[in-house]
Amino acid sequence: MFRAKDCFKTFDPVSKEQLKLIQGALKNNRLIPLPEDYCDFLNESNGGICGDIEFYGTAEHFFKKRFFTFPDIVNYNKRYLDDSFLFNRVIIGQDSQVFFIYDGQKKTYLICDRISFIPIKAFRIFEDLKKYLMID
Amino acid sequence: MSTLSFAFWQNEMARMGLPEMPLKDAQKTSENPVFCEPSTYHTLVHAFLKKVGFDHKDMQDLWRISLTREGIIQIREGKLPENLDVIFKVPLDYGGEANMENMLLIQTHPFVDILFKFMREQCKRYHQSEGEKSALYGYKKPPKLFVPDLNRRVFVPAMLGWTSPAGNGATDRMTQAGISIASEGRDV
Repeated sequence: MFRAKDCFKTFDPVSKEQLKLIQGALKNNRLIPLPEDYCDFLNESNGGICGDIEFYGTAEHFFKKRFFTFPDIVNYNKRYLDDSFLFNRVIIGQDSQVFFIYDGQKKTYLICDRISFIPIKAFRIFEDLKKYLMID
Repeated sequence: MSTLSFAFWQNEMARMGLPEMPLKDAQKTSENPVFCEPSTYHTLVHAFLKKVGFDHKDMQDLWRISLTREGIIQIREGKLPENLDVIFKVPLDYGGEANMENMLLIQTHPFVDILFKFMREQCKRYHQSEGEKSALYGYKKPPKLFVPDLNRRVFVPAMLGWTSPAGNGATDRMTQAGISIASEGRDV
């Protein structure tokens, strides 16, 4: 059976200074700071890719052979600042159908439709989201 | 010109950077988003990629999008390399089915981002035209959505005349270099 965790590409872990900077940058852009359990994930790998599943970290990563730049979380969210849906929320990742969004007010992780932002599922902790996506 | 007309949205698609992307309309079949569960999706994608990896025409398209030999091997094993997505051409809540005929292999950054932005913009305009000011629970979905009308399995932007972000009508040098290297069969 295919398991997404078998192909999860990781990066170097984030440093405390980088994390502090990014939390400040998120606040300055009127976004929610990253929750603790997502920061624990970044402490193991500063972002991650598995197939179409992407989780963003504090730094962008340039893939020389594939001619693309994997974005960092602040620059990625800046594309959606015009959408009022992101009030008190931050997009932490995406796949080919949905966004993965942290709702700072309800303290939950949401899976939202990528076309309409309509929430589809909610998870209390990041581990539950990873289990659902089969990358844990 | 009505904001919901085909010509308007064809122009919007061109403005966003995909001027020759053919479009068709799809009728809404569900009010709530229809989501393909991860286990089903991964099984479908695994089979779809194996089909693409061993098809001659699809292989030529994979070279055209600058995929390396390692990337093609991954595809033949049913795995997605980085920066590639398999999306449903017609969204599942607009009559699209969760099967291989409705699937498209396409580069995540920037093309999947552009396509979803295009579809989201239609929802946003419809949402605003219905008098809704807040989108805290998402956008209202229009009864009709313009979606890509492609019958290929792999999206090849250069063949469709994709322009560079500067809009000067030429593909950027990196894309050109990648395409020419890939077509020679060399690794980058």
